[in-house]
This record gives sequence, structure tokens and C-alpha cells, in this order.
Amino acid sequence: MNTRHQPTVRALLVMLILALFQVPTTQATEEKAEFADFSELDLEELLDRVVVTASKRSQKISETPAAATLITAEQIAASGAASIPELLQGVVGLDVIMTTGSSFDVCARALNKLGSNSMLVLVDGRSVYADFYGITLWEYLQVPLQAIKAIEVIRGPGSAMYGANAFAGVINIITFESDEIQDHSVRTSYSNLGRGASSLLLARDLGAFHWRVALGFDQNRNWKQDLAEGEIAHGEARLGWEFTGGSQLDLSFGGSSGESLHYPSDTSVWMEGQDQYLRFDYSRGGMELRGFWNRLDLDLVPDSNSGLDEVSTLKSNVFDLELHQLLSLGSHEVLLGANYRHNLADWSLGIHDTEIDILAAFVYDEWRLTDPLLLSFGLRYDHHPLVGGNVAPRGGLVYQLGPRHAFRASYGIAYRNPSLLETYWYTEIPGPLGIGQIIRGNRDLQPETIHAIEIGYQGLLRDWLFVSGAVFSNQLREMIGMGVYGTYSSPPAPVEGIPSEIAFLNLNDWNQIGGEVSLEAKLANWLAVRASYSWVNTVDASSDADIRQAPDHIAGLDLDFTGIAGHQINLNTRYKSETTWTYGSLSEAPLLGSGDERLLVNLRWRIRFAGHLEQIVIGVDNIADERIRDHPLAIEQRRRIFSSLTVGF
Amino acid sequence: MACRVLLFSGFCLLLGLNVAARAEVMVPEKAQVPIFLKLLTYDRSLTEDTGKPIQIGVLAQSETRSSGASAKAFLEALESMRGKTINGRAFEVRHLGAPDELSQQLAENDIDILYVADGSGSEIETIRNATRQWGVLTLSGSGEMAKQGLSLGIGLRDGRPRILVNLEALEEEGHVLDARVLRLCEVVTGP
Repeated sequence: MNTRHQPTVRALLVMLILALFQVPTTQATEEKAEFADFSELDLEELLDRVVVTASKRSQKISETPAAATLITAEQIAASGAASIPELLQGVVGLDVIMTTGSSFDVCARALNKLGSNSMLVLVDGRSVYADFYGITLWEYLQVPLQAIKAIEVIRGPGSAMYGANAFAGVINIITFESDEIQDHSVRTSYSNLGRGASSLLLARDLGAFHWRVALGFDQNRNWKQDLAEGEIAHGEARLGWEFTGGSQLDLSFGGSSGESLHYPSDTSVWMEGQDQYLRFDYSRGGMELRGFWNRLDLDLVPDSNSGLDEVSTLKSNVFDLELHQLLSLGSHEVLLGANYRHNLADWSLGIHDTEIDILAAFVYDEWRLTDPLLLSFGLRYDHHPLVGGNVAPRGGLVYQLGPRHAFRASYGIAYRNPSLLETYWYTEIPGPLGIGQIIRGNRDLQPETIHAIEIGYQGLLRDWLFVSGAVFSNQLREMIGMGVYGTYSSPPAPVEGIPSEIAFLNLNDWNQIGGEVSLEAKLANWLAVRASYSWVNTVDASSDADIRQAPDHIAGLDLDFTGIAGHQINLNTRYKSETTWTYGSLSEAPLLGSGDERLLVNLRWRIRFAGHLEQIVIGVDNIADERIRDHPLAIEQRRRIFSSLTVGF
Repeated sequence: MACRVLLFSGFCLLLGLNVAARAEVMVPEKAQVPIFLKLLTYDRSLTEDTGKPIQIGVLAQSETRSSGASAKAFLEALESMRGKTINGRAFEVRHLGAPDELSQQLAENDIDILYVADGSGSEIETIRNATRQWGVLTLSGSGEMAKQGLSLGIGLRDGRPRILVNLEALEEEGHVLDARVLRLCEVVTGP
């Protein structure tokens, strides 16, 4: 700054703001300036994968201050999978519960449960969880698998960037831009257990305007009862305009309609209705303004006698507006942003036209202190009408030891606000002799909180061997569950202690320690090996009793064989340790059950072609036909033979 | 209320200010440049030091608005690398004019390498013929261009930069890549 002048405070502020906003944004793959000849660069380093979720911008995985895994479009195509949760089953540290033929619960680091609501799921940055309870209805997602460019999985708290629900981690599904899709395509898959999915993807790039349309249809059978379980039709469209000067506007809208069977808690429910969204994105340089409306309109029909056998209607509307700006300030890359979220829900079984507004502001700074040392700091403030203000900080550092090794350490606090259901639900269930029950939310709930410390490493130990690993320690406080809030005395009840009121309560404090390790080895041009193992020990903070409601140990081993003439074979094994769950209907004493330990062997054979028929994948999951359940209430899984076919035109 | 006012003020502030912007392509030109220049170190026909700098031409496809912006960004990224060498050889950068005069420009400027900015591809045959006539190695930031007969392209189809190589085009242009680098490339064919 020119020191010859003495500008006023106002002028200084104006200059500072102008300086901030005139700085060009930088790309994540900036090169080191110290080399003299390009032969000194490492090509594989230059081609390092990009990931955006951990800091809301493109960056190398090696510079991500969090445990990150990327599933690429190539891996998705090779998998022959019919749904996104199937793809997530191979991600280190992630647990997938298959509850019915179509519904799944996904969460990281042993925090999975029926109705999992601790993992934030995004499609191109749009949150797709149902705010009503925080769960993700995977089968209602509109995006076809062949439109997915990558799925990023960030394990560990992300509230400093994303606010509540990024409690255990973030799953960001990133789709191709319309102008990145070269061909129209049709993809269809079917399995012997009655699971089928077909989708059509059309896209065109017309220079300054591009569009994409996707249509899909899924059908499932209820494996438990061998009955048709449901059919869901999907559709979405995206329109994009590029304007002179580099600004871009995208409009998209989509919807799903159909029915499926769910276990949002210990009671199975048929869901029938629609899930729709409308969205816009405007970006200019490093600025992005994004707004969306998520709408859910479902009829809920209990599948079994839980006391809640009434058919109900759920309507949920979420309006979200976010603005963020990426700035490059010398050695700092700063992201500033603000978010407004309006929730409106109505459930005929106990929540009536309830509205809440959540306001947030966040800042995230990555400071390259020296060439090998990257420091990061994030801070997010959310204001919730009942809970009040939450401050979620996160700090981390990445130290790169040469081009091949990166060490990282981070500390963060994240939280999950009580959902609308957990807060506002109120319903009365009549009982015999006038002894009914009240089931209700709780407006005095505190948000669930996690304090997380993590140390990680990733590196290229040999030209052919990539290794990554992390150890972490979490303190989880005020975990929410349903508990007895009041009891009957005798009389009127025949015996003392019968629950009169069941409510959501801050029940548990847990401590966790754990670790994850994964490696990728290219042993020959025709053989690659991937292996992963994760371990988590969860204990009650006061009693030190083991909590084993999600698997403590998860491991996977993949052998990828690449043959001639477009043939690829993947042979993989998946191991999960036994789990122990407390479950049961609301009106009865809880039961104790287990999810099965298993070692499954799966096979996939992919054949690629040069013509319109792009590829065929044939596979067998659970070759040994083990009869297993992820949860005592979940479907029994069996051998599944499937095929998938993709045609381009 | 104060919180709402603050947030609203933040929105207005951010919306009201313009930011220097640039057109995006599949892989930013700034990231393409080091990848391509590193790739050139594996080109056996460029390893011989003739004592002359390697001449790199940059060409925009004339009918596409965004192609001009892409060519400009690539030129700027190349300029930022001035002073560095490719296997010990210096390089110089030239912005070439319209594709219909390409053959003449290649000859006059003694071009060794030609970067073709992303575009509709309607002039691709002209470009192909000229570069093959003069033994010029062609690069493009578009994977589709490699499928249309340019030697090397960069795509972002799997969430990260991917090198696409058209071996037939490479041979037609009289260049040979070291086999070590081919394992990192996706081989494409066409047109």
C-alpha cells in the first residue's frame, strides 16, 4: 500500500474490498515455480485426482485436509451397479445397511443406523436429505448412474463448511456438465432378485447453450416377502447458458414418483408419492449463487402393526439459498459465504404446518505457509430458531514431503440439529383401559455434537503402490434417540412403570477411536489390487460399555484383471463384523438382535465394445449364497446375479 | 434480527461486486500447460537438441466464441512458463491466425507443436491435413478432438485430467511417444 497518503478509514475499507474482489481466482492445479525443466515434474502428480467437497472448491486429494475417497465414472461404469449405495459399499470406513430391496442407510465411522441422518448427501452441492428427519431417500434420487462424473466421500465432520447434518461426513455426487457428455446413452440393469433399473440420458452442447435430460425407471421386489415392492420413475432436465465474460447460469428441475418400502426407524413403512426439486446456479469467476426448492409429498402406510397403523400424509418443502465467493489473496485462498434455509413441513400424524428458518455464514481459508505446508481454517455460524447459535470450527494442516508423500492433521467440531420430527412431533396412541401413549418430539433437545481429531497420511511408496491411512478420535455428545419420558402409576395402570410418554431425548455420550487404511497397487498392466480396512471402537462415555450398532471392522479386497479386447474382471471380497442392535416397536419392550458377520465374494465381468453397444457387465454378488442381514429387521440378502448394458448413440 | 440484517448485507455486498472472470473448459488451460509440456519430454522426436527453440503455435477455431478465450488462456499459461525448458530445449510461443491459412503459417513459423483450442471441430480436417503435411504434433484440451484426429487431448471425464492419445494421428504427424507414458494414457481412435 502506498504510505505517502493517509486515506480515511472508509477509503481504506473500499480499497480493501475492491482489492479482495478484483483478485482473479486460481486453479487448484497450480504448478510449482521452482523447476527449470519439465522433465523434473511428475506426470502422475500432474494428473492427481481433483476433489471438491472438503473445501467446496477443486483441489488435489493429496491437499484435502480430510479423509477423502473418489469413485470415478470409470469405476461406476465397471461396477454394473444399479444404485448409488451399492457403489458406496466398497468405500473404506463407510457402512451400508440394505434394509429392503430398494432402501439403504449409509454412514461413516460406525455411526450408521436405521434412518441414518448423520451423513450429508449432496447432488452437485444440493442437499438431498429429507429435512423432516434428516434421512436420505436414495431410491428417489433423480440422477442416472451414467450421468455421474464422480462421487466424493469425505469421512469426518464437515459442519465447518456445510452446517448441520455434515456430522459424520459428506457424500457429494457430482454429475457431468451437459457439454461434457459426448453421446446419448441408455443403461439398463436387471438382477435375479427382481431388481431392475433403466435410464436414458440425452445431452447436447450448442455452444453457449447446453442441455441434458435424464429419464429413469426402477423396479424392486421385496426380497423378504418375495412381493413386488415398488416402482419409481425419475426424470430431470438441466439447461445451461454461458454468457460473454465467463458467467454461467444453470437451471435444473426433476422429480421422482412411485412407491418403496422403508425402515425410517424400527417400523417399516410404505412410501408412495413424489420427490421434486427446482434449482438454479449462477456463477461468475469465483462467485456462485445457488438456490433450490426440494419438495416431498408422500403417503406413509405402516407395513406392520406398531401402534402407528394410521395412513398419514407427509409434505415437506425446503427452500435454500447460498452465495459464496472464492478469493485468491497471495498465499491465501479464502471462501466466504452465506446460506439461508427455510423448512416447511406438515405431517398428518402430528406435525402441523411447521416452519423454521436457519441462517448461516461461513469462511474457509487455506494458507500455503510454505511450499510443502498448507494450513486451513474454517468457521461456520448457524442460527436455528430453537437451538440458537452453533459455531463449528475446523482447522487442519497438510504437509507434503516431496511430491509423493502428504501428512495431514485436523481438528473440528460438528453438530446435527434436531430434525423437525425430533422437535415438533406430537401424537397420541390410544390403548386399552385408557392407558394410551403420547409420542412426541422435544423442543428442549440440544444438537448432537462431535469433536474430532484426525491424523492421516497418503503417499506413493513405489511407482506402483499408493497407500493412505488415518487414525481418529471422536467425542460424540448429546446423541439423540427415543426414550421413556413419563410412566403411569398404578392405578390406573395395572402395574407401575408402563410408559405414558415416549419422546426424543439427548440420550447418549459416546467416545470413538478408529483407523482406516487403503492401498492401490498396479502389479502389472493386466493386474491391479485395491485393499482397505477400517476399524472403530465406540464406547459409552460414562460406562465404557461397547457400542456395536454398526460394524467395528470393515474390509475389502479387489483384484482387477484387464484382458485383451476390452475384457475386464473384478473379483472382490467384502468383510463386515457382527453388529448388535436394540430394536422393537414403540409400544413394546425393546429386543436385542444382531446384524450378521460376513465375508462375501463378488465377481464382475465387463466387456467393452467399440460400436454403439458400449459395454456389458455381468456379475454375481455373494457367490457363496450366504444368508445374511445387515440388521435384524432388514431383508435377508442372498446370491444376486445381475447384468447391465450400456448403449450410446 | 441483527443476524438477518448482517446476512442480507453480505448477500448484497457479494452480488454487487464483479469479479474478474474467465471462461472454463473441461480442464483449465493453466492445468493443461504443465501436463502437455511434461508430455513433450517423452516425445522422442523432440529430444534431439537442434540448437533451436521448440516452436509452439496456438490456434483458435475461428467460428467458436469460446475457442478464442481458450486459446488466449492457453497462451497466457504458456507465457507464464517462459524461461523453463523441455528436456533442455527452450520454447517459443506463437499465436496463429485463421485455420484456413494454417499450412502457410506452420511453414513460415517453423512450428513444431500446435495447440488447437476447443471448438466445434468443423475445421478439423483443414488442421489435420496441414499438421500432417508439416510433421507438427497436435495438442488439444478436448478429448473429442483427439478422437477426431489430433494426437493428444486432455479430458476430465473421470473426475481428474486424463490424457487421450490417438496413436494413428501421432504416427501420421511423425512423432513417437515413449512407451513409459502410454500407460498413463487412454488410447483413442478416429476419425
